[in-house]
Amino acid sequence: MASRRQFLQIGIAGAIALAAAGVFLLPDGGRMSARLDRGRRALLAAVSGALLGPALPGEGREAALEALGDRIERAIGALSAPAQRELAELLAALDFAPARFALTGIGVPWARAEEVEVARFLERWRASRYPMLRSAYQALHDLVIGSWYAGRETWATIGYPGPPEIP
Amino acid sequence: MSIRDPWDDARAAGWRVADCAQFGAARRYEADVAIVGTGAGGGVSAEILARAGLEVILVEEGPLATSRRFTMEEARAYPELYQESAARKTRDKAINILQGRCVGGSTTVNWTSSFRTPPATLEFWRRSFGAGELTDEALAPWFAAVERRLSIRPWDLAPNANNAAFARGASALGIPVAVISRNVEGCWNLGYCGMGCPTNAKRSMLVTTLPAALARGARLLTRLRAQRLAIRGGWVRSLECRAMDAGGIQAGGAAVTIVARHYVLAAGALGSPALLLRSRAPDPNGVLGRRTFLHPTVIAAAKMPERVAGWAGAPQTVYSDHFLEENPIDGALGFKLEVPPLHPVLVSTTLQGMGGAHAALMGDLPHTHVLLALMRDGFHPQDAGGTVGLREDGSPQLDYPLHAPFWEAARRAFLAMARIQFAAGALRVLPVHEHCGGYANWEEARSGIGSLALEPLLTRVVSAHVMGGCGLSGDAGQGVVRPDGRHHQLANCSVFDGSVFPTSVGANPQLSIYALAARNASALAESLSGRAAPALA
Repeated sequence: MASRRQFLQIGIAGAIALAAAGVFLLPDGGRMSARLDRGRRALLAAVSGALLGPALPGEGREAALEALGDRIERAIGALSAPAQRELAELLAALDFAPARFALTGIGVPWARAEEVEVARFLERWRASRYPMLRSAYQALHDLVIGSWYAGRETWATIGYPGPPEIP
Repeated sequence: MSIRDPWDDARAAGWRVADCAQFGAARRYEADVAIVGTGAGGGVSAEILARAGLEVILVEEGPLATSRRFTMEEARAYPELYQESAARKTRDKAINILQGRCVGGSTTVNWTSSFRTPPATLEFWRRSFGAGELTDEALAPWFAAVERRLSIRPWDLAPNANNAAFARGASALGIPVAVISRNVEGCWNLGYCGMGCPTNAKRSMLVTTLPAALARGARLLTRLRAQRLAIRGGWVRSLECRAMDAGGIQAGGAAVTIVARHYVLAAGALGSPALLLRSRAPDPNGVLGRRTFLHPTVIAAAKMPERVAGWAGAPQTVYSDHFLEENPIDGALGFKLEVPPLHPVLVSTTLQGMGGAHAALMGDLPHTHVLLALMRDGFHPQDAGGTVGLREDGSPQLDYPLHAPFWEAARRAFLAMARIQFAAGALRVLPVHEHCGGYANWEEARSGIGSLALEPLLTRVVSAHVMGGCGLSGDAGQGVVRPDGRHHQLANCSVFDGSVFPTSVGANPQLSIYALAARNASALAESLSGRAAPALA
């Protein structure tokens, strides 16, 4: 467990990395392409696993995450251009190893990150004293969780019958 | 039972409707009046001006989607019908804003709650904003006309279980509640108003005033973004627009120019000030875009012993103004209590936490009840609301700092909502705040809420009511427009939407927008046509 002092350092370094990554890491002026590359998909799958936890099915988990990734891509494509740019900056920062480590403390590629480690950094951002990290957490929370429960196949798990039939 | 969609016969009836995203080349139109926006203000204005025999052209950035496309699925409705896919946010991301972006604007997706402008609000506008002409007596006939036109009357079926829990808890504590009036005719009580009414029971602009205007020759241009007014010598000379691309995100399509005798802005309380800002409209007193209000809203969920199924049934049918009336209007912020509809995406993105804790909350969805407290902003002397500015790409951005008087009210609201929810029989009460894991009884809630750190991005704050930014005032030094909606500096430009309110309304704003637009558009129709304006249908 990191000390409070280490948290502070991560927070400040992370905030700087977040700002810098946006400037240096975005191809073609920060426009989100229609498809996310493999690195971004792996990052979103890791974050989705931690945000959704037991909401994900035990059986067919990989397939569920893959389908969720497609829905997340569509959701991103429907955001406003400025929101797409900001999200692209966040994902670029998290997919850049030095920034990933500074921001999250995770020292391995996303595909190999443990769910508990991912959950730990998200929980830290959720309650961070830095509003920017809290807003980054909320962006991921809303994108991932909203995309998940937009899917009809999830409705039975929460007792939602879906829209009524109109004769 | 077959559902009538007035748009089915649009082609046969010769309605002039064009999807500008399909234009291959630049176009130019002329009209008597150009109206930017097709929501509450634009819709009512279009019917009145078209009935007066004026040639009207309407510009809408969103798509034309009608009941045939309203499948009651959030995954489809939010990207298609809402501004920024229902994820519009204030500059610091602390407030999420729900606003429509489609033909009919927010009236296509709102929850139908209809309130006349509260007399105390009008009194404050007369006293503080030189709006002496806006008396209860002067506005009463306009409210009555709109209520008749849009079938606005108190909801006469039983409230759904979510509203009933609120009414039960409040009544047990002696807190008065009342029934909400709704703009519906033959409502099926389904609960999906927020995704576009699939039965056309909701008397939104989509099925009332816009078809009426089109039947009288008005022209509707959809998926067209109003970029800027060309202004010379205190007159608007033209409206310059660009068509949206196929995805509706960027305005990269054909250029469209509209030349009109008069220009009506009804693009909503972020859109209208942003259009004037992009146009570098005269603003000698620096008031444009200022005093933007949101009724910033805090939320409390509760787990009930009974099944609530808050996705079903008319979403908002009970309200309480008890906490608006406790203090003077310009004192500690008051709040209105209402409930929201509870669909999976809206609920899951709003509730705090992640992983197992969040999954457990979602598992309780059928038993979840939710209360909202909408703060009446803009009256307290320290409360100047937010400011609309422009991003680099010209899109509007609202800077809305949440200040100490708001947080003081938020704490009172969380306490009031918890008391009501426990009085209704809640097993657990959960103010929507990242540090809060819920409370099992009132004593726990009272002490827990008392020590919650109320800060942006810890407390979830939302808004579905954007108002102000082109404030009205009888004094040219204080307002962007006069109380009749005419721009103080531009001779042939009016603003007829929620952006003219100089404070928040203190009630869901649609009926206030309809009535003021009806009054002001009628006066404009008279001055442009030289004849008395005809009444609404």
